[in-house]
Amino acid sequence: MNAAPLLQIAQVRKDFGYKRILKDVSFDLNAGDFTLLLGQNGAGKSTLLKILSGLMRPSQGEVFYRGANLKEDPQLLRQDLGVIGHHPQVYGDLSAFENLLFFAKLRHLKDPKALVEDALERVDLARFKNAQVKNFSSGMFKRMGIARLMISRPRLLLLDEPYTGLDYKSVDFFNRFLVDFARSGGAILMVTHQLDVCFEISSRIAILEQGCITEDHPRSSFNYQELIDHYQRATQ
Amino acid sequence: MIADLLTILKKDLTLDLRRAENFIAMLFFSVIILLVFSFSLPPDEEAHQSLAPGVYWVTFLMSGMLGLSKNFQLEKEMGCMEALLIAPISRGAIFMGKMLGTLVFLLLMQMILIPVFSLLFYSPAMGFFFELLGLSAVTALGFASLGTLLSGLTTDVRFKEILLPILLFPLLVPLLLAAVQIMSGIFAGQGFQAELDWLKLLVGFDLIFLIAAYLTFDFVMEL
Repeated sequence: MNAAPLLQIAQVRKDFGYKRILKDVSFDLNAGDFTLLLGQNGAGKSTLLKILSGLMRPSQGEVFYRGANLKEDPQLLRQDLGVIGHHPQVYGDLSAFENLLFFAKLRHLKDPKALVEDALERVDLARFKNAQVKNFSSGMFKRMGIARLMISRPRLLLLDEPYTGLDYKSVDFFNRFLVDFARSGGAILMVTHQLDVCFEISSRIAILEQGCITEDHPRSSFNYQELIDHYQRATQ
Repeated sequence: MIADLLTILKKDLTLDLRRAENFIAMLFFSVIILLVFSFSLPPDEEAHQSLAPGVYWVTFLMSGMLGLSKNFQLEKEMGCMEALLIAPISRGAIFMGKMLGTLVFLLLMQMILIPVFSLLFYSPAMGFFFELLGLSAVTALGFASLGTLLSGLTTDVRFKEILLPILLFPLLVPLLLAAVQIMSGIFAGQGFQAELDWLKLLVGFDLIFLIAAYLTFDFVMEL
C-alpha cells in the first residue's frame, strides 16, 4: 500500500479579478520526490508555490499537508517548510549572522548560534558573517537562502528559481544538499528554467501550462534532450 | 508567543537604530510642524495655551504616519514579509512585535517633542512631563494598533502613502478628541481626574483596536 502523500493539492483554482491563473490543479507530492515544475512565464508556477506555502489562499480547492487541511492547520506545514523565492528574504541592515539567527530563533531551534555558525561555514559565508548583507551579491543572497534551509531542517522545500546567480561551485554544493535532502525523505518542488543543472538529480517532471498541469512524468521517462524537445512541443 | 514577539521587536529596534535617519527625519518633520504652528498663531500666551493641545496631537498624528509607513516597508524591501509569514509562529506575534516597535519609536519621539513643544507654545508641558508621557503612551498604543493593522493591509496596494491616511485618520478621530481633552485637563492642573470619561474612551479605543487587530491580522496578511 502506498503511503499518504506529504502534500496534496486538490482542484486548486486561483482567480485574480476576472483572470483565472490556476484551473483546477490537482497534484501530489510524496516523501522523497524531487519534482521539477516547468512552464512558461505567466503559466501560474509562482502563484501555485505561494498557495502551497500558505501565503495565498486559493479561490477554490484545498491543500493538504500530511493529511491536514492547510486552511485549518497552517502551522503543521510552516514547521516543516523551507522556501527559496524570488526575493533574498534578508534584512539589508543586519549582518549575515544576525539575519540567520533571527529566523533560527523564530523556528525555536536549540542552540541557534551554533547552527548559524555551522551553516555559514558550509555555504562559505563564514568570513562575511558580520558584514551587513545589503552589500552582498545575488549569489551570496542565494547562499544565505541555502543556509537558512539548512538551519530550519524542513521536510518540504518549495524553490522558485533557486539557481539564479549561483556560481558552478555553489550549484554543485546546492545540488548535493538537495539530493541528500530527498534521500532522507524530504520532498522538493522546484520551479526552474535552468534544467541543465538539475535534470539529472530530479525524480519527476511536471509541466504547468495556462494554469493546468498538462504533463506529469517520472524523470526516467526522458533523457535531457528528449525532455527539452518534449517541453518545447508541449508549450508551443 | 512572547518569545517570538520579543525576537521581532528586538530585530525591528535594531533596524531602527541602524536606520536612525528615519527617526531623525520624523523628529525634524515634527519640529517643523510645531514651528509653523508657532509662527502662525498670534503671539499671546492665552491663544497658545488654548490651542496647544490640538497642535500637539496634530503633530503627533502627522509624524506618526511616517513611523507607520516605514513599518512594513522594511519587510517588503527584500521579501522578508514572506519569510516572516511562513515562519512557524502565530501571526498575532508578528502583529504584536511590529506594533510594539512602532510604539517604542513613537514614545521616544514624544520624549523629545514635549520639551520642544513646551518651549514654542508657552505651555506648561514640562511641568507635567510624566503625565504627558503617560497620556502619549496610551494614545500611541491605540494609534500603533490600528496603524499597524492598516499599514499591513495597504502594504501591497498602489498609492499606499495616500490610502493609509485616508483609512486611518477618520478612525482616529475619537482617539485624538480624547487626547486633546485630557491634555487640556492636565494643563489646567486637574490631572486625569477631570477628564475621566475621555480617559475611558481612550482606553476603550486601545483595547478594542488592539484585540481586533490582533485577531484579524492573520486574514489581513493573506491575499
